[in-house]
Amino acid sequence: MGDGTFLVSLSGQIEWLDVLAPSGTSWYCKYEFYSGPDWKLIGGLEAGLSQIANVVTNGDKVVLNFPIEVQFKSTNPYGWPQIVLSVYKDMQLGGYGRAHMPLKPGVHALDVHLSRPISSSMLGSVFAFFGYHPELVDVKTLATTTGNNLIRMETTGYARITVNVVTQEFKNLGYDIGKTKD
Amino acid sequence: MAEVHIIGQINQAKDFPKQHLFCKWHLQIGNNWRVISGKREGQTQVSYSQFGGTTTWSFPIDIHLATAGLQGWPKIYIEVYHLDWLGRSHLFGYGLVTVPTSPGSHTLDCYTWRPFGSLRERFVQYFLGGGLQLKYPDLIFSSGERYKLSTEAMGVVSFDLSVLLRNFTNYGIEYN
Repeated sequence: MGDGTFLVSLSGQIEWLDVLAPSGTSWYCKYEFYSGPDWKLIGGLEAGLSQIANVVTNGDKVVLNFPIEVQFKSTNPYGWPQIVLSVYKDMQLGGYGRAHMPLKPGVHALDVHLSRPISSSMLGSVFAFFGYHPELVDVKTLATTTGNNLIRMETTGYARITVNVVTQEFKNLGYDIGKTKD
Repeated sequence: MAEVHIIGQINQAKDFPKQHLFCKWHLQIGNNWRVISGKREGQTQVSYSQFGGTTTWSFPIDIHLATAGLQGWPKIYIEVYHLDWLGRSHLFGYGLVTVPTSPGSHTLDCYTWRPFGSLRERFVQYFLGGGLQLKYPDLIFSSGERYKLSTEAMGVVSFDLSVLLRNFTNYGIEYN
């Protein structure tokens, strides 16, 4: 390359969800990557939708084992890719979560905390009681941090993601991410 | 100019007496530092957990800085508030963390505190909430003026930060 661009390759799985999962419920998960203005997708899928995982035993982990494989290039680490998860339980919102992808090359296990909005008004909570839970109009707000002031959220669990990070031309551009091995 | 990237998140708050917490943060930098991109301050959503005392925010931080000197290495200053059921916010803690100078990923715990009122003020605070706030929050960074304060301990806010340095070695800066 030599034109100041570097490459980031991410591959891994959304392993499982640890949530309050009663038997008989079914879950699925949507993932999307958000990255800054200088970032370009050069391969793989930037968004994906998992299978529907059914829970048989009360309190089991919801195993998705959903593969992620995506490559980006950029000239600036600003806007490092973030994954945004939207988890649905029986077609209702189960929670959103976000995390930055690790900067260090290697294999990483990420725990992405999930939370969902709670109604802000009395009428809203009446609707929520009958199953109409509030959702975000655009989940990007979680990654961009604009417009989320004073949204009330409740924690619903977490998702475990395993991701392998490989970078190219990153050190040659003068960046130091510290010792590669911990 | 040497460059610093701070990428990470304000992860969670634990050991606060109440839930429904949100956090305002602000990046404090010296005079010869410049923000190239990214927001220097922000406010998280209001978080609540059904499962116990730890509330999670996972609030992203991504800042690109350039510097001509080491003085005024970035610090993150936070204010934690509790939002009550009437929509009033009460100060629950101030805190400060220094961004690590060694590159790599770090988990930082910020132990927060709040002003400790007189007996009468604490009595009112116990029943009505509210309490004392700093009129000049600059007092949080100044080590010279802190002696005027009387404080009590509040919860812990944890950060996951990845620090990325560029071109520091060109200037003979030694770290790690």
